[in-house]
Amino acid sequence: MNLEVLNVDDDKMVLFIHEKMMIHSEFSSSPKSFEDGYNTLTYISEHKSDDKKFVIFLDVNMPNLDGWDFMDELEKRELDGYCYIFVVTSSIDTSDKEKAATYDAAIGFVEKPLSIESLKNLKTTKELLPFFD
Amino acid sequence: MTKTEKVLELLIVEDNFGDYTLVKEYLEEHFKYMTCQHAINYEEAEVLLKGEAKFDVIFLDLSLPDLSGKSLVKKVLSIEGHTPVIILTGSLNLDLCLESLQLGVSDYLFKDELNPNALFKSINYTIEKQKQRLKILESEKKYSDLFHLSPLPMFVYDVETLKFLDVNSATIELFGYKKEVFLGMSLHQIFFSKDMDAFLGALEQTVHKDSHSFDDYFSYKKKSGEEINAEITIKTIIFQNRKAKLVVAKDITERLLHYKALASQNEKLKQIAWQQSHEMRSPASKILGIVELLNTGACSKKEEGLLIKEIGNTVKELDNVIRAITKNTKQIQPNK
Repeated sequence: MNLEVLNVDDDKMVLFIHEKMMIHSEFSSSPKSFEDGYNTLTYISEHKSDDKKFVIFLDVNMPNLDGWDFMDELEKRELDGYCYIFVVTSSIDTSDKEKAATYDAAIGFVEKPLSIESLKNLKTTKELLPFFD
Repeated sequence: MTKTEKVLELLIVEDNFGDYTLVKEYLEEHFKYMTCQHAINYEEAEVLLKGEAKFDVIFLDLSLPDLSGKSLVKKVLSIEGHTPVIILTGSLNLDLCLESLQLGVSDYLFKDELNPNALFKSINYTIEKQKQRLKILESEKKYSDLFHLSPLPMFVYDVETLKFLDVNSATIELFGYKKEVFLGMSLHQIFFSKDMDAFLGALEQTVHKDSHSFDDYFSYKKKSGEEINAEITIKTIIFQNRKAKLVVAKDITERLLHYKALASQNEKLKQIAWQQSHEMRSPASKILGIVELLNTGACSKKEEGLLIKEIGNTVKELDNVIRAITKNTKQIQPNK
């Protein structure tokens, strides 16, 4: 079973930072970046495979398709089984965290900025643990 | 014959000198200390009554050369409201005597039946009765003052006709109608028609209660057409022999305006809290992320340059959000 990390955020600079951090912390050697939710959905449906899980760092606040809509769409297209999602937000409002917990595919909630330290912690998430051992 | 130590100051208004002397002598049999002034017509009496002297009792002959009968009684009583008047009459005109009593005279005596004991009894009885009357008047005035001088608007209306029976000055000031106008009005006229049914419905609740205050407030219409809001308490009273309700109305128009201002201020504060947690946090977290990345040393010189430039842009973005928040915190004033 393989992992493929996808960063979804409408801010290019955020995507750049996340990519760099993930490589540096050895969370992923080749994370992919998406500025738009629809492109991400297309990518997932074209590249899904039974021996692969997508780990998606999903920004909540995006124009067009926001993080919540993205997850709804994922379920509708029955792609959610291929994904582990970390909901990423810069908000420190707890209501987002509560809402994230209602989605099956969402396995975690991450506050921006993503740091070396937080990426290390994420490796110990129950679902991801087998991949980093 | 024993005499009382009581001091008596007297005015006798009597044109017949014989009658005057008789009354005076009879009284001297019982009063040791007595001063007696004499007026022989209404004109003289008026001068004395309007003067400095205070009398315990006034004896008034009902037929004087310059004035007599009911008009004389009325005039004397109108000058001296608090001094009891005992009328002396030669004729057995009972109707006139009874009418005089209704006008406020304390007692009547027939000249033919005068004797020292009857006079003594009448005087003492009259003086004592007057004391009681003054006490009642004083207590009535106290209650009337509580109503009329109260800073809270109060009014009384007839339960059946819904007509105003009394209004205090605070009510007059609040609604803008003159008292005479108010007393010709009914409850309907201080409501907007849309609110009248609600109010009458609410009054139904109070019919069988002695006292009731409502949780909610009501809207009223001023003479100017302006709307005011008041909380009311209603009490059942008997007023001028009519079943009536006393309404105490507390004007809360200003207070409500302040509440509204506070509510919108609160709404703004919520917006600000949202801005803090979303809009302001977003650039802040980005800067934190960039700094974290710079510290890892994982970037090339060129990348570091781009990151530093981005910090500058993001701080500008942050600055804009701070300005927007400051604008939002501007105090909200109650609408007048």
